Amino acid sequence: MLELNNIKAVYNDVVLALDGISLRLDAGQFVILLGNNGSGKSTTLKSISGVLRIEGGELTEGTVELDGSRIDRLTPEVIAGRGIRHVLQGRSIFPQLNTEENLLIGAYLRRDRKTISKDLARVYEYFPSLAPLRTRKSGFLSGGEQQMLVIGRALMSRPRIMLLDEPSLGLSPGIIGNLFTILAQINKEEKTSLLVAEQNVAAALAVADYGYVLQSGKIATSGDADSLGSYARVKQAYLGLNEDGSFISRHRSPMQTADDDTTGQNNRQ
Amino acid sequence: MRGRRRIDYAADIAVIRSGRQWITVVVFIGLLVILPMILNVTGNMNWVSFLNHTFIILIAVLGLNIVTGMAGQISLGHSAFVMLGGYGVALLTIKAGWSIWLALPVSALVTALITLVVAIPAIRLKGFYVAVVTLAFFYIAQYIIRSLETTGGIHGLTGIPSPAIAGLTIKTDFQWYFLLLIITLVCILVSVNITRSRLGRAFLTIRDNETAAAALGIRVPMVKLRAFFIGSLFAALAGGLLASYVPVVRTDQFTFWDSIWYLGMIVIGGGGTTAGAVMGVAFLRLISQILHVIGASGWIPLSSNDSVYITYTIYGLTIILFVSFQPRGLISIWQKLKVNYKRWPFGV
Repeated sequence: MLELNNIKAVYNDVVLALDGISLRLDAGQFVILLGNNGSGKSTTLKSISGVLRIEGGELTEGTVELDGSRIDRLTPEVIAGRGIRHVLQGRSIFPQLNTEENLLIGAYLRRDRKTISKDLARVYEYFPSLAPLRTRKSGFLSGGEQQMLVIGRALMSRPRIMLLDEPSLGLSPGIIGNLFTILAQINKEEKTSLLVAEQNVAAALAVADYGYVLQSGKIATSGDADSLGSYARVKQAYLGLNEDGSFISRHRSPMQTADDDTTGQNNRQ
Repeated sequence: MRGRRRIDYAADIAVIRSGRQWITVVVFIGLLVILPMILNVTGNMNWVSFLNHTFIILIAVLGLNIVTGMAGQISLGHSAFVMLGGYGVALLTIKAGWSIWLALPVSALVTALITLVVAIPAIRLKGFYVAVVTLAFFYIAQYIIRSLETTGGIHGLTGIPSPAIAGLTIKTDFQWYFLLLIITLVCILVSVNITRSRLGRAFLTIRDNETAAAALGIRVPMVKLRAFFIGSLFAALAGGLLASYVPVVRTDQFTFWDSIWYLGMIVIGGGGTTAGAVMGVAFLRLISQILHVIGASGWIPLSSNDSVYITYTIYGLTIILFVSFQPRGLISIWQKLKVNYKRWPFGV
């Protein structure tokens, strides 16, 4: 359904953030992007949703295709209209609007009032803790509630594809597990394809179908969740562990393997 | 908090939500109706004229509240939109001989279309750059109107006709008061309804986070354009009413400082809400009138020049004090009072 072909992204004409990423997301799939800070997870999502250009970046090479037609030259609002919903990193709520208004703004592109109120009820089913906070200004919600709110807001547009950027950021471990259970539930019940950038490897791998590990703007490895979970290179690339489980020396980038160049000039921090 | 149960969003956002609010609104409007009669009895027409000007300013500020308060685009050219509306009505009534009731909406619409010319570069920009573009527009508009012969150059245009309702010509301050009161109340109602609408929510999202708004499918430039359009409709209506009320239009009636005061009223009232805009206008206008009365009374030995500067100084101080100690404006003081009242005796 969604396909990225060898895309390269550059910020402000100088910073190379993606250096040839190819991945695909099929209908109903739950795919995760893993990788260190600065490995290009967020940029990958932004190149899909078109937000990249608002933030001063651009795609210099490659294509993003949705159902076979290119979407990489479209503006974010047009891409949103095609059914791709990007949940930005760091809870981009609208603090002056209350919970319900935040949800309603998610349905901005829809005009059918009846189904909107039905979907509103559905969001409250997924996130029961939001229901009593309907009329509270969203700026006063807790971090976890705000995260639920932005996911619920994305759901309100009935997206075909949801891109989530680190939904677990700053949440307590208990909530993280819960959050991913709900994401899996959304994936199954709403048939929404999910592409989730995540730092919490265990929680994400437990529910995802497939995963990619990014490293310095490239795909280091990929595979289905089970194989990825036990895959030694994930540990190495992501957790900073050697294949035998010992820590990699501090002086070397966790991503750097023996066959990498020793000058380190290809490593973005 | 006392139990209040509302189950659907329509009830949540209704303009008037409870019986008690109905009473408040009716009492408030009743007071506004009686007020000029009391002032009339005491023979103080001066105050009625002050109230009339306040209504006109309020209509203009409601427009700026949409552009700046709701959509977050700082406009320093608002007084130019008021001016264009005023000149539009003057030209249509004097030169073309139209009825004022036709001239008002047409002038407002034409002004709003002209606004789009400024808005098209402005919507591509952010923050201070928008302010600079609108400021430039203000001076360009002033210069053009002052140089043209049809607009009367620096002398402006005089003799704009008064509106008439069912054969009754609105002439005195007292009659104008009721006309302006009705128009202002309608404008307030429109403004409140914009806040509650889909478009109103879109305004707030682009103010709070443009990136997130775009990712939600909101066409940010189009929404900004609409904010400017609606905002200048209000401004032009205010200008048209002013032109007919005074009944003169001259470029020096519409100064850059007016734009600044409009912004100040929004800041002091609490940006983004209609109630805040109303409070801000009422508050700053009252301060200026009190200073004016004190200045004119001769209690303090000051020349009229001095009292103008003192007014500006106190205005400025008020804004500084509000920004430092009450950045959310008068509206937040009101909201806190309300919550504390409901929770009494468990208030904060």
